[in-house]
Amino acid sequence: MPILAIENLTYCYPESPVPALRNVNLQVAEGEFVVVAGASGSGKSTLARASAGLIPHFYGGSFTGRVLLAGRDTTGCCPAELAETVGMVFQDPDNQLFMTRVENELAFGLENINLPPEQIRLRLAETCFAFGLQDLLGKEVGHLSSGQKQRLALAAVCAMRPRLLVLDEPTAQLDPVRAGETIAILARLQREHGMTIVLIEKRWEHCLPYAERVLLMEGGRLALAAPPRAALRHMCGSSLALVGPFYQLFERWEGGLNGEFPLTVNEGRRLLQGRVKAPAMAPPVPAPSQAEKFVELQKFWYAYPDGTEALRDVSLTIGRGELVAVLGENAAGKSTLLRVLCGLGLPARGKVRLGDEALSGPVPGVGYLPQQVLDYLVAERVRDEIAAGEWIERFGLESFLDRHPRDLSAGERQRAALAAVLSRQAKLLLLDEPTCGLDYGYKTVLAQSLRELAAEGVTTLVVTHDLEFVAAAAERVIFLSQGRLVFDGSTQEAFAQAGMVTPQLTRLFAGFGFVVTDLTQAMAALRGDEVN
Amino acid sequence: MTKKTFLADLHPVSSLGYVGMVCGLSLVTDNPLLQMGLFFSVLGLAFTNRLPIGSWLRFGTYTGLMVILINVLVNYNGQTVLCYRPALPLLGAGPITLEALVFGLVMALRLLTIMLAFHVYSQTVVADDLLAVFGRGASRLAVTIILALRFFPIMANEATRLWEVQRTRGWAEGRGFVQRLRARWPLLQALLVAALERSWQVGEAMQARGFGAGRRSCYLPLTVRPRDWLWRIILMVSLAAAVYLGWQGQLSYQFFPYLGRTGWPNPGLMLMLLGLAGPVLVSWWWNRCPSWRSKI
Repeated sequence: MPILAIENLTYCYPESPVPALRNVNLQVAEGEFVVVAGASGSGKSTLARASAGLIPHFYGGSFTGRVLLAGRDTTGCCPAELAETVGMVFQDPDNQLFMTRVENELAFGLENINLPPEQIRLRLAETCFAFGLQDLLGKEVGHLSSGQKQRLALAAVCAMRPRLLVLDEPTAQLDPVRAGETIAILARLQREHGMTIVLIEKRWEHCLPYAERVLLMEGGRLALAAPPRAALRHMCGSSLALVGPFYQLFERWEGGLNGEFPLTVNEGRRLLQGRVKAPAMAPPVPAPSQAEKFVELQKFWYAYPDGTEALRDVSLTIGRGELVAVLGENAAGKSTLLRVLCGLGLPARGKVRLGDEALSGPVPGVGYLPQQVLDYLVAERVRDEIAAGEWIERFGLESFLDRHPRDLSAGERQRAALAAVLSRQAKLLLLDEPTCGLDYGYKTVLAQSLRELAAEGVTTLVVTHDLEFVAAAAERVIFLSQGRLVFDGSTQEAFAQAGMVTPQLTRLFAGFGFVVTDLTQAMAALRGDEVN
Repeated sequence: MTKKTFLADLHPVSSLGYVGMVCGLSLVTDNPLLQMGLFFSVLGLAFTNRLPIGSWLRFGTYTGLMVILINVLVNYNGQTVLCYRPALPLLGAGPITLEALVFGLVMALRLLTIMLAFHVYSQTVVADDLLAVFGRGASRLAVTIILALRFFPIMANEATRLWEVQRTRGWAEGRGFVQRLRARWPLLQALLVAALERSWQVGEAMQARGFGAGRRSCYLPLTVRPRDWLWRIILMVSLAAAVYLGWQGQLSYQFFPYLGRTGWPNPGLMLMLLGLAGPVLVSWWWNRCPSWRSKI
């Protein structure tokens, strides 16, 4: 008997005439690792909620068909009663942690299922051991980093030992290293503990080495359910918007690989072995010259009111029309740097200048998009936020214009916010994680738009963990670590020097002694042209 | 914020008992000596537990001075005139009496004692412990309180972020109450919608974690240790002394028309003050002698 069986499921949210799920049929076997991919608004999160029994109980709406969890019809029991069968981890860790102390958070679910205290103690001990939470046990939840919070949320659900674990973009707020750790934990839970995993993930290709099946959602329908390589073949053939440059390379290469798709960088190197001609290597491109200085930080220090130093001795000059990516681990000071440049943080020491003037508060001509885009979108309709129609078309917002931003999916909100901030004709754009929730198609649109704006003289700083986007868009990279500026140079130099924090394509070709950053360069390297 | 201190290591019922006793006694007694004893007992506990009370002390000092000032200015009772103050708008001229000054001092001490006791409690007892203590009887109420305490800082942070981001978009607060309200209205609306959305998501996540499935157990890592019994004995001694003082009529105090006697030296009063010093001494000894910690 499958652990999850969905039969002819069609579901509409209340007051929505368009079904979010249309005639979905799916079976997930016990112990399977399934990855769900799809464009934003395609019904992935709705499928996750239906799988966890939260739909229709929590949301209402019209629901036809059946969802069976371990043979039990979810419409016949409330979600809380299913908690021992299915656990769900949501995107925002803050909204799924309820208690003040880590230990009590882990115990919360176990108390809810009426487990005796002595068994709770045992479960807590083993969960802490399995998830490496021993050092956090006595801490307060509010004092944890976002990575620690997400690990705690996952551990708290796993402590209940559900047979099926459904995760809705659990790595969305994590840096690539922490995201990789989370995925590896899930793989261990599946392989060593037989837990069934249904993982919704924007960066779904990074999960392929662990996945047994990939589901593709399109417009509320389950368009495909296939093993990873077959799913890659299908997606490369139908919609490249969902496939990253690493796989696009293998699809586009005329040398031909007979439809073979690697699932890891190492597999990719093996596939390319002997098929790559040594290219003439051009020297790394130096950082672009700064003809007209626009942003300047001199020996800048910034500390939060509690005394925590977020930026330490940062000196930086950015020219007009430059497109700069800001990289670094979580809590490295990246977002603080953007806040400072839009006038929201004054220095403890040092100076910050914008143009010819010292910055002493928010100034006109600066467009700042924070990570939480709903802090930016406060109007009641998307239409009221966007100043120029051109951006509506670019970001495919025509059908959402009269909707409230909060009624949109995460990806749609992100597109609306980007259109709103880009349409403001700012001289300085400060974008914090702008690709969060975007598929590759819209990432390409964004990269192209930012390059066009840069050509018009708009200076842009982009804080991001998305290395593929950096490779595609940015000409310069600065790297912050623990509040200090540890690297400042061209994107090519950055990826040539970095060993671990590089896009998949760069890591693929590093094995052959080349430094390539984007798809065009990778194709050139395969053809044996000069790489520049 | 929890620190590894003596108070944080006590069972929450022991801490709650102390706060209850201090606040209760502070409300029923007018005796200046007892009020001072109660205040210095809580202040001593805050110091020996190294609690951050700097900002509270500043706020408390202003509040206390305000209470004293208002009493001195508007309370004309008392026969011992210290001086006559000049005429003030609405109040006119009047005497400043020793009795009104002492009454103001005692009222200020009462207010500060209660405020400080709750401050010490909030700094040392985690909200989750409420669920452990009251879990069986009123778990839903306890969870509601915990959620309110947990999400209040998150909401406050959200409000600050929203204000800041809108400032970068040219949002200006405006001058005057009406203009400010008009300027803030869309942001308040956005904040309200965000709070509703968050409450929805929290409810959903709680259901997914089994909340509301029926009878829930109570994981109680809180243990009653010898230190709790020692603490409770000290509290009982103080309470017994208070009952004795109440029987003797020493809890009340005459302020007007002339200041009465505090009753010192009275065995009940001495026992009471000793009982109030007890928690401070135990806490101080706990810091001084780490080897003693494992014994109690």
